Amino acid sequence: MTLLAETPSFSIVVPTRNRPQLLHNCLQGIADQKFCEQLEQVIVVDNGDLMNGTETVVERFSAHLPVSYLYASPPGVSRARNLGLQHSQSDITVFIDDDEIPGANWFSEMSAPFNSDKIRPDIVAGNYSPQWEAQRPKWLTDEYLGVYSVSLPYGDEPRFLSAKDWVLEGNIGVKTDLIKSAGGFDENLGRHRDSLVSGEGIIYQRLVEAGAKIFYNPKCLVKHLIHANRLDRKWLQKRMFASGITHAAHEKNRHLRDKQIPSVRVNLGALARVDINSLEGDDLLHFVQVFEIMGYVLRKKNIL
Amino acid sequence: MSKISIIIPTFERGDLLWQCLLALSGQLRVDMSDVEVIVVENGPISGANEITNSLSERFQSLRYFHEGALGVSRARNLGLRHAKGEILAFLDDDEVPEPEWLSELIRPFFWTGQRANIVCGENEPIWHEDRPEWLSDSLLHSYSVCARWSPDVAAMESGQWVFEGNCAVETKLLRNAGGFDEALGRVSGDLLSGEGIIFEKIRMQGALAVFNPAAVVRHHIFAEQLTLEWLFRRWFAQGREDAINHGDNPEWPARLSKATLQLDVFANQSFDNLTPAQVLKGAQLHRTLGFVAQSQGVL
Repeated sequence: MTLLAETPSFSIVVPTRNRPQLLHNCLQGIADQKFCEQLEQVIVVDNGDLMNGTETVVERFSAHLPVSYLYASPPGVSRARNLGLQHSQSDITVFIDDDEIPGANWFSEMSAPFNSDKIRPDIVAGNYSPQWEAQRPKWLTDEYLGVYSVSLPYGDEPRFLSAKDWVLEGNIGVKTDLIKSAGGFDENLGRHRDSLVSGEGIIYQRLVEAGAKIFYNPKCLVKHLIHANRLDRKWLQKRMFASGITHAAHEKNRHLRDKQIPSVRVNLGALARVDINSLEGDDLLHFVQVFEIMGYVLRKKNIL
Repeated sequence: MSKISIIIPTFERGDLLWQCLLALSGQLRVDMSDVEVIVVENGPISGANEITNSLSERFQSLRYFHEGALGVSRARNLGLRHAKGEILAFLDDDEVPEPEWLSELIRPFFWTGQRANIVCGENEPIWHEDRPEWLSDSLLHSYSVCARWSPDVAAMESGQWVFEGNCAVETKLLRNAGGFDEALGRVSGDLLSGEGIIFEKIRMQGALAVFNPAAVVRHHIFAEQLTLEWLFRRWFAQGREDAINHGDNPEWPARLSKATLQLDVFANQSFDNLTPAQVLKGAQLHRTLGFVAQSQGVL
């Protein structure tokens, strides 16, 4: 811990999985940050295959960053985040993902609210800008950006968020003691292997419901890579279905109120035969929304 | 008499396997010296080998195999590879054969005149809890019991399927057809069945399938299966099987359901106090949902 109580120390935790090249870009982005006196640790938590090249990448940065390497097994991003959290010695732990690159003033913008006597946040959430790996398709309109974990809908000005607002888990700082005492991340959630069921970020919502203050700083920006294989309507559909399942699972754990389900009437027999690649605009939106609701309902009724 | 192989897949249920094998060792009106029994333990090893060892004296030939990869189709296929008999009989570990089960099951293979190529027996329920009021007769098939295809032994008609846990088939027919589809068949909790489609394929090629209501096994129906949640999960899985087996048939979803569904109303509907007719409708609905989810590839 730092001796100066008024300027907290920071650890950055980066879970990573079999993507040494992306991790390299992410760590380079951290190494390029200015005004990093408060940064104590960078903890890379590998939850990929053995000998996947991640450790070599981490060693490359050891001269420039206070970086350490941990291996989490079995795989699971929640488990990796928890392991990083356990090893964080700093006042604040910041989570960033291996497919993100922090923007120019990212660390200053993350630390400034924690340094401020006026704001005194418990959690600081940043924003995400898309970095398209391949050309953005026409059907992928702005309303889907949240599904792709970019562009939070909270405006351009820094402000406090409420317990109703959702946040993502890939660019967020939190008081270490607070998240540790809440038990860390739920290891039954969080993406692992090929499963798209996500949602371990629910911990932040729970903390806020219990009284923690969450501050949104849109200037604390990371670039989030959107992989070419996700620029596919089929991926969107699966992701929406999985997000419905996640929501219902949270509700069961009483983390969330019942979902407001829009009134939708569907012809199931016809639905089975729809080719999603023929849909655009509102037709596409309604179609994938139906699958989100379907995932939600099936989980709620314990069919899945 | 030709040699008969009885294949029994088993999964972590030693007590049931014991009951099943004991009943099998007491079969009447059949020469057991011509019968080999093959037990295939599926998934983790949990004592089936000890059971077969302790009962081996009661059989001419009782062999144990282990199939580590989960899936009842894999277990049945492993049994198929090792079987020496010309006729294969399939039994499940949660079934108890009646004393004349085997003799009745194989009898149609020795008819003079046209002989059976496949024989399906009848399953009678062993209720572990009182049969619920919502469980109408037309839903009994969900539990693989009460086929009631015909009152007497008779050729099966189209639309009547073979119980994969109480049937017999000529070994060469099943081998030529490639055995069971390993993408189907129950894998621990997912309630996916449908590997019996192989018998439909064999029948399509002209094989004679016969139902013998006297080839009776008693089939356990456990308390946890007697909930609407289980029933609807089973029917959801049924819809997935339909999509796997009939997905390329454009008429199939129309056969399932033409009805529209109000998703928000459905989400808030409780399973309590449903009438038998509503349960039947709910089962169909879950079947359609399973079909949609499987054919859209979101699972």
